[in-house]
Amino acid sequence: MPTHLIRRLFEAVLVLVVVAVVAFTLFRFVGDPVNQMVGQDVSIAERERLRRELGLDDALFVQCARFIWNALHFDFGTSYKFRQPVTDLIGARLPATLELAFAASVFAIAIGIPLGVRTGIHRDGALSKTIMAVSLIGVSLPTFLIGILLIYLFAVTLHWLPSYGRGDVVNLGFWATGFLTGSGLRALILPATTLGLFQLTLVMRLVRSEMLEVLRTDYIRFCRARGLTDRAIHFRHALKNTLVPVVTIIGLQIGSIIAFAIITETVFQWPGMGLLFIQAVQNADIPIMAAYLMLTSVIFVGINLVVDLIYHFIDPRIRVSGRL
Amino acid sequence: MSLRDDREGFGSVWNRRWRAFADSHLLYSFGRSKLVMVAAVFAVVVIGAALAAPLIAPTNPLDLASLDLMDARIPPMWMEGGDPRFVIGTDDQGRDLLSALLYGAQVSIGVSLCAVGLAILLGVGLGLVSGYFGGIFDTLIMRAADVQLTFPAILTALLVNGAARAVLGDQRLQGGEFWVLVVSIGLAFWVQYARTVRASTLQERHKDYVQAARLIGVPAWKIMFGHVLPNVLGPVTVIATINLALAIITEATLSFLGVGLPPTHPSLGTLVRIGNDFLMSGEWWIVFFPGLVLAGLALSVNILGDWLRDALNPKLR
Repeated sequence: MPTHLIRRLFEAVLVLVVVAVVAFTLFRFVGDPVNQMVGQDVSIAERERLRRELGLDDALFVQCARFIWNALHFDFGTSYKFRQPVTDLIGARLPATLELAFAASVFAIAIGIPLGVRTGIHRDGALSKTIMAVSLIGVSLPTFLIGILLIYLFAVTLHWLPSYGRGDVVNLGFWATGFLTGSGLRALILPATTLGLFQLTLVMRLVRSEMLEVLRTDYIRFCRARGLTDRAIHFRHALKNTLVPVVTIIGLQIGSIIAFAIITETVFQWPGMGLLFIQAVQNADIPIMAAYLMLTSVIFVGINLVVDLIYHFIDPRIRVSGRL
Repeated sequence: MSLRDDREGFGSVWNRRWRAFADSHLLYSFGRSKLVMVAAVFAVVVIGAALAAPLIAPTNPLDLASLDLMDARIPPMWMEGGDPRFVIGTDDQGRDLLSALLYGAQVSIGVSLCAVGLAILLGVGLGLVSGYFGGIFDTLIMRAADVQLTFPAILTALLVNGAARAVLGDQRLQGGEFWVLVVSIGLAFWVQYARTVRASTLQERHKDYVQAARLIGVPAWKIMFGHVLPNVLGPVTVIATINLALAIITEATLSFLGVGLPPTHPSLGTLVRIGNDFLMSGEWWIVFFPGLVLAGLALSVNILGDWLRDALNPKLR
């Protein structure tokens, strides 16, 4: 276990260093930082002074180390477009994205697992087949089309739910939450559904195939012989044993939920990190892109690491061979 | 081999090959599934219509001079206020939506095909080098692949896209959006090919024919591309088909997010983006038809990819 842990940690740190170097390369060489910061009318001497102040004349290695050092202290420089520290910009929008991702995950799990159990138990039923067919379409549709479809149905035609924004938020210190107001919760429904739909189908299909496998095993047959009720067999004995891979996949999917939040946030004009990032890409606002890249990579690598270690902990078979 | 076979002409060789194909599992499984046939017909019709866009489109949507703002936002011809000149209506610029759709599908399919081609070129090349030479090449390439796999493809594509925008600047980007898209999507998808090809190359490398070729002094690049490559390409075709659907969706997503093709030269995603702005005012057709074609195309290519994977995988038969 300790060797495995150390190797995993080492690999994770290596990935983060590579990403940080890529981010630095973006920051330093894609476009001239000085030209981006000052207007056309600034003299050459002035530019040189700024260049020295920013340390752009130092050796590349020193610059890169300083960049990473600053990033470790949550200093990602100043946005070209907004003229504000990137950390403040991202910090203000992080709660919105995390709340959206959280709601989407809850939605995917709360509906995906029961549907998976249902389609696994009655695999040949008409309802199960319909659910499976619909889920195939759901997987193939691009996220933004699903969002547009939901907006057209529930916002434009039925006027039930708002089509954009977060509604009213309550400030809890640095965290602005939409969970505490009615309009905030209503505004959450459509984006969370859009974002969670893909994960829902994934969870459902996974639970279904695991259920099919478990229901064939001897111990389930023995449960039936003991005369247990269907309910007890399906939920107490079968479902429990399907959950290890499900937990892994859900963990790994949190990363892609955050990535796909970019699309959902654009469709619903949700004021989160993703929307900030897409504006940065449109405006070639490199400091924001670099910061977003590093932030998401920390999240992804962290999740991968945790899931890997949990897996290692639950399933002894992996300890022997190693996962990759 | 009998005497009669020896005298067979060129034509009958093809005849025999055709018969072998007709008897194969591929064709059999194709005929078995109605869904696959429907998907194939839909994909062929859309791709064919897109390629023939300049011939069959009623107007040229790229010719900005021919547009008339008076024609903007006309509903489909069967609705009230419709105009028989515009079968499925017009967009906000007065473009005939059907023509824009045909040209847009052409652009979408073009970008996706080129991007998948680039990914194959890059992935297969790097996978071959990695598997054949091993050592430091292998470590470098595969570590890079691992790092990239940590990120979802869409994020990689967005980052490459943003970097390209920053390097090129707005002026030089004009007209180059097509290739910026191809590069961003291609760079996002190479990893899968590299891993697959590397794994098969590792197996092929120790086979007798490779050893024999090395023994008689065939240069390494010739062995890699002339001898090993044809033997590792099988799985690549399957990944490519499934990837094509993903590439179509990714292109549409990037265009929808506003970092793909510009409104003057729209792809399906750009058309959806334009239409999205008018959804609130009830002009549903601008977003509906491009969305429908996009979803149908992605779905049918996906179904074809799944079928190809199942039919070519002997373990699943």
